[in-house]
Amino acid sequence: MSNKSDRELSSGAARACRLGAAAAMSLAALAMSTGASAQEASGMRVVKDPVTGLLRAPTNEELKAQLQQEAKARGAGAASPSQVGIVSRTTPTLVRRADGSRKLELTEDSMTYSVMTRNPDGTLNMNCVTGEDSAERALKARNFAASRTVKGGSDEQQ
Amino acid sequence: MNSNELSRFRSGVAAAVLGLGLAGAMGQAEAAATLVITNANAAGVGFNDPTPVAPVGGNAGTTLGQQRLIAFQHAANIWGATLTSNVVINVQAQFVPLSCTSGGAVLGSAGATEVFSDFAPGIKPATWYSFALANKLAGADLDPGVPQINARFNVNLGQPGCLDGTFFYLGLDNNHGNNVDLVTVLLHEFGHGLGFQTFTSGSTGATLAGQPSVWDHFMRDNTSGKLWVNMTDAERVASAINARNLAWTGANVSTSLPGVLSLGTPRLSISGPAAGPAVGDYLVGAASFGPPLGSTPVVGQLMPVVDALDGSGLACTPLSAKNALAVKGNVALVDRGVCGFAVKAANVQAAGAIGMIVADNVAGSPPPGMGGTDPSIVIPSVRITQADGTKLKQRLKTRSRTSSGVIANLGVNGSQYAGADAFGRALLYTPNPIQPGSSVSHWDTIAFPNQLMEPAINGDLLHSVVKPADLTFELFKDIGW
Repeated sequence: MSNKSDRELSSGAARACRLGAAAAMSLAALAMSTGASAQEASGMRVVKDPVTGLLRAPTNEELKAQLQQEAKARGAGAASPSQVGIVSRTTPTLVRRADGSRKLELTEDSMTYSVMTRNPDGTLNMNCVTGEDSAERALKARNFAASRTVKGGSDEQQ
Repeated sequence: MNSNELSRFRSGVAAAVLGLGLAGAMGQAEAAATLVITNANAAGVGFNDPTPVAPVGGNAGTTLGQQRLIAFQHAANIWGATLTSNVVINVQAQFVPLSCTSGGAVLGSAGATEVFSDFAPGIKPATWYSFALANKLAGADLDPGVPQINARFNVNLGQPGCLDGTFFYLGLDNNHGNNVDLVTVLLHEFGHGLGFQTFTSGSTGATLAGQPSVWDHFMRDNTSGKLWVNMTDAERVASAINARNLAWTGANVSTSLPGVLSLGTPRLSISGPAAGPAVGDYLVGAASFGPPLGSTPVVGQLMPVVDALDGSGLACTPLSAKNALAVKGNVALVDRGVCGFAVKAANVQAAGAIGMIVADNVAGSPPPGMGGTDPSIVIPSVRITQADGTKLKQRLKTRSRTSSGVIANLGVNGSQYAGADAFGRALLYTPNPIQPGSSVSHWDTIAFPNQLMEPAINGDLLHSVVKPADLTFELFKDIGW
């Protein structure tokens, strides 16, 4: 159940003003989905308020602490942090969930890579490709196709 | 095309608490999202590198690790100030060794860790959405404990053997000089992770696990008239290499485009009594040197330079008397190769040419732009494809010493925005042959001013994801942000 009174806002909660102006920023509050109790809100994060004892959404600080604690709790035998969520997989993993939704855990093939290569005259080309294989090929190719796509300071120059 | 002087500059949002992304308005009164950078480096390395450094470009960190994290958070803040979501976006990040040599380096990688479909009412059914966007639309974290975006950047950049001497610029002011502006690269890569990407393959045409991506509902092939979501695999393969014919149909992008992109698409028109079947308009790549093509075209006889044994014309040295006679007062046709484009332009200009056309020496379309710097160049230059160069050379075989009867008109299509089709829809990058990883999930390179989500991360980009500088957020609004 969404309860705005339970949300915690950072100090200095004014919203930023238009571009170029210094402004105090407001933290976006983490919200519970409407109509769900803590127990039935599968997929939601909750914490027990130390003062009221009531369940509520975690603050940003609490969420960060949770994430870091979970990473540590995975222990020595688990995938390294760099591999959580993606890079340890070699094939996408499809999960059909009880509520009818689908989740697909992606692999390195879906990651985008920025690759920079140096021309013979010392100038640089920078390009974006998808997938580790594409990045490796881009790195090896002196004159690969994607590096032809340039304007401005990072242009291919001959 | 030259980078015209742009008076638009946008400052970043106010500094955030380190480790937390703060939200605020960036011309979006209610925009608010929190991007958390989770430092996944071990002690003493990457974000935790204790090497003392001097503050630079508004980055007040006093260690290398601190400055890296501040730069990451700055990029996250820019996105956080633009997007709206009640669910924290967790970016798990670290600096690690990535592939590199003295001549090149993988700067970094980023991307969504998961995609979701059928997770909330009102969304496109049986359609993949990136994790962070899916969370926003669901109003909930669909997979707690898993970061929405994974980011790894090269800890060795600039070191011997790793693009030696070229480092990440960690300042926040975009004053990167000859180094790599980390904030710009992060904005681009975070953009992909937040949803600037189709997961349908342009190489095979296959959807991901049998379902289209939300992007596929917005990409329209101007030859077939079909959206990607309605195509067969084979049709998508053909569309992915249909140069400058795949357009974004989303209303936010189309409505905003006139305020972002410049009116006037560079073009070459060929006519004349000797042009024969070569008459028509040609795709061109613009030059970063010399004047940009304008509404007042440069028109002249097209005359080739011939200075190599194989009959090509490289114009890498001052032109011979015969070649100078041919190009004087005319538009010079030369071939790519051996020397820089600006060198060729200087030589044909010195010989009296009023413009230069460079025929590519490798197959492919559309023709890329031409880089280089020479403030003395005052004639316009464009690149055409190898195939078009061959076609034009055929028509020049009956030329005299000073004229060809083939007229080249270098100008702009004043009714078409640079980076849009004739209907004002933004073009996606679809070179032929396909460039795996670059094709489709980027704007076309003809866009001007340069856009953040082109496949080449250009050195003149601003730290902006919103109009009037950039169309990225408009596309994000189209897909649900």
